[in-house]
Amino acid sequence: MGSMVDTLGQRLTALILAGAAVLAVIMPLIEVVRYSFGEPPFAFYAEVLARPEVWRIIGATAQVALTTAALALLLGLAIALTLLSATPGLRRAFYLVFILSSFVPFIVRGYACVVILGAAGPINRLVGVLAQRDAILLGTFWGVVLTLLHALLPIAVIVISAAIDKTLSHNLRVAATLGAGPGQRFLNITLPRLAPSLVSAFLVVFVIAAGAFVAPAMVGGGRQTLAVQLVYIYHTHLMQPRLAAALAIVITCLLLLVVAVLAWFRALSTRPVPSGLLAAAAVFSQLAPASGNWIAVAGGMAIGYSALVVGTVIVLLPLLYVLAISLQPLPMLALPSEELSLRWYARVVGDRDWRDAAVTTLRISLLAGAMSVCLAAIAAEFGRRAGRVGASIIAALAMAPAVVPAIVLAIGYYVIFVRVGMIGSGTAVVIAHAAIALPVAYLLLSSALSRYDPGHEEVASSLGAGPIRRLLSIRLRLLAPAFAAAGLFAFLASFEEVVLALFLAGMDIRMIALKMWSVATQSIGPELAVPGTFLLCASLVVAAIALHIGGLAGRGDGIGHQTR
Amino acid sequence: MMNCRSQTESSMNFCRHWIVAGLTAVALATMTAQSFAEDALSGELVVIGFGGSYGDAMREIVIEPFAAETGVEVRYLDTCCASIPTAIESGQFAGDVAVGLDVGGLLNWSGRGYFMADERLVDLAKGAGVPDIYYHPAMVITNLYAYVVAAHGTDTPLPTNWAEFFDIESFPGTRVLMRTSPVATLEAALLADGVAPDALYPLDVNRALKKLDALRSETQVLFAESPADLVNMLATGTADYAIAYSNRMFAAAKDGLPVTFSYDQGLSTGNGHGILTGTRNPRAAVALLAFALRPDVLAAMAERTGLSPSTAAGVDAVRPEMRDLLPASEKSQASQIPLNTNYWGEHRSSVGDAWVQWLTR
Repeated sequence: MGSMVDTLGQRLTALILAGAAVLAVIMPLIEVVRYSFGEPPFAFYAEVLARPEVWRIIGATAQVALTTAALALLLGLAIALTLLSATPGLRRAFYLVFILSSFVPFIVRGYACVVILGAAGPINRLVGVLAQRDAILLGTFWGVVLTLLHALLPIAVIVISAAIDKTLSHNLRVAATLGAGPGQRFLNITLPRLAPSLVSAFLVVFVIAAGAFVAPAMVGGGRQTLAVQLVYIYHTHLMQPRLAAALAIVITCLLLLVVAVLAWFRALSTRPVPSGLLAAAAVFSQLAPASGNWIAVAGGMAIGYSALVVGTVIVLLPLLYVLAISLQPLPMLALPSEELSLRWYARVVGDRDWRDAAVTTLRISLLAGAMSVCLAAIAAEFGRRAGRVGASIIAALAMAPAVVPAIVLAIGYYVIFVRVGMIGSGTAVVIAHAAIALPVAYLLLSSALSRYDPGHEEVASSLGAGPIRRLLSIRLRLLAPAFAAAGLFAFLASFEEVVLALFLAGMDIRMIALKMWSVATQSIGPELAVPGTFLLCASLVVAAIALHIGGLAGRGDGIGHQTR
Repeated sequence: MMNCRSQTESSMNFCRHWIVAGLTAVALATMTAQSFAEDALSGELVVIGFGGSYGDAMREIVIEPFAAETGVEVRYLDTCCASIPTAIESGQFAGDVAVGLDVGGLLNWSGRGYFMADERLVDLAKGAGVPDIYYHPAMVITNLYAYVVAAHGTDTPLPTNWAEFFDIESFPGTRVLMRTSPVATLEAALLADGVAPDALYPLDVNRALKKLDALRSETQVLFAESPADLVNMLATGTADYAIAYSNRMFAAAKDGLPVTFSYDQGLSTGNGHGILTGTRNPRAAVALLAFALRPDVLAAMAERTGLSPSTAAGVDAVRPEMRDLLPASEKSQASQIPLNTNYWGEHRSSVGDAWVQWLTR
């Protein structure tokens, strides 16, 4: 009886999932594909593929995304492992600050990056003093990579550290008492155990970096043009929306290919570690002399703590700059040099638009985030049960909204919502934002689920717990931290989103991101740093409360340490 | 009435006639007034424009006084313009009036059918004294501005023509250009390369890009994503010299930012407003454009934003101490070269294409 309910429930959820996926992801994509066809059908594709700048920019984009993803992976891994040996309080504080930095919309932090990378920024000053030369990173490859790293490192750290739990530290301790060296422990225990999460982290950073629009636009200085910017250039400046759609489909296909390959690779990595890797590990550990152990430990710690410092600077420095810029009296982006001014605070506080927008945004983003987490949970569950091919397809679908440039997705949604008369409604924005937030929610939940042990539920089932009880009191409880992280990031994805909102919100729905966008495009200056500072303070309050509650509960584990 | 009281009965009757006639007249007048009221402006108007300082000025100087005077309920949306083409093409109501677009953008949109053509707009422009090159049934050009040489810092030596702007030896430093459009940048390059102002059009795009190649090989050239971005790069010293919008430089200098600029060889053009296809209130829309063309309104906008009035009456209404800072003053106009907006209206996409190819090289 129980199993029948179970299969019925599963079929029902499968149906709901399929329906939601069609509505939220596949339908707008189909519209975009239809839109990209001309006469003859592939005319725009032929033109896109024949344009030399397209391939140049796709190559440049791949280079930026690869560099960013590799750096995020290395830094993220070092940070996550270093935090493993840190005190619980420090670890919790670090995670919270890292996560909550994302509370400040990227458009605001991007401006701080403009200042940091610019002529008067700390990097140029420091290099000027030390090496007597200019180091203006604005408009350079490394400027874009650093900005993207700032935006994406928190996600990488969270995805990776979600996999670091007590089982891992226990296993490491056991291995150490059995005489395994640090290199051996890392290669034989840590790496295999973290492999799926590492792939996930690489995937999410690569895909978001490759689809980046705001960061290269703000700090690229026009010289670092990335693929999605080219879509915008075709669409908005050359006014060739169909050519833009064709280019977007080409980019989407390439990125989906990367997603599918990486998802397949991740499915592979959850299986036992290939013997070749083990053999290599053995060789490596042979190479390390036993007497060198303490050197390896010290070296590892040195690397780990420097990664911690570098990561913290990359994530936090722009936030401090946001705070400082908000006090700049002149309408330009620079640190205040002579006097501090509260004129921008007076302006923002006195503007009713900001307050109204805050209320609307909260409503829409909470709904969109919740919807997105539900979808992501169902997708992750099916991805876990499906075979390798099925998992790749589900991952590709769930990642699609991150892969398709927003302006093209916006056109797809626009056509659909016009058809059903929903343009300008909050529901339209909520649905589109739920889709936009799906990739990050899916990644966080699926990487948590991939380590979830269904044995708990089997035990509960044998003790007579029904499916709903099992879901509520076991699965959801054990996965609660992952759900919290997914919910937060899904909320933030909607909170920050501009392009879809621009198309779908119509005239009555004003959101904070839209307000920021309209301010940013017309007058770059400290005004935006004010709501940024407010959000920063709000996030600090949230962090303080969370730490306090965490301290009271006396739980030693930080975010993601769900397997207690 | 005093007279009536002292009259005989017959004259009372006569007087009564007058009273009746008077009352009738009053009634008639009221009715006419009512029918005028019905005929007068009413309803709602949705205006789409940019945000930031331009949006604030537009709201305070044009939108709110117009609404107070006419009773039309006006909503100003500052999220121009990415979604408007999609909206109009799919038959949705995109708003009534789009404000603050440059001539090239207006021509482009009008060519794509996004604006309602209405001869009343030409009459408006003629009546207000807008220069005749800007007569067009789909737009009203309310403001003039120029692309000018600008520099960071108030004591940086300022190039006095485009040849000097391209001269890295005499004027060393980073340059910033607009990325989103080649308008004015190509003209500046050609003038710097020795092309005479009256031989600019049709533009020799290859020659201009070659000149820009030379600039790019000699010094760092940055490209701004938006006019605001350009001002910021110049004000913060990230760039030393720019081809900048005169109104932005006017506003920046007024705000106390460390920038200078000059109208020497400035490339002048205009911006203005158009009535969107699918408008629900065309009469109020035309009335709003007429309001925006009033000399006092134009002058107030100019003093606030640095966008010069497009009419002589408007320029005259600007306070004398500010007049010379505007591109349409006699003093600054002498050295300027007008951009050929018709050329840009026709060749925007082909030249834009070459520009994108060059930018991404």
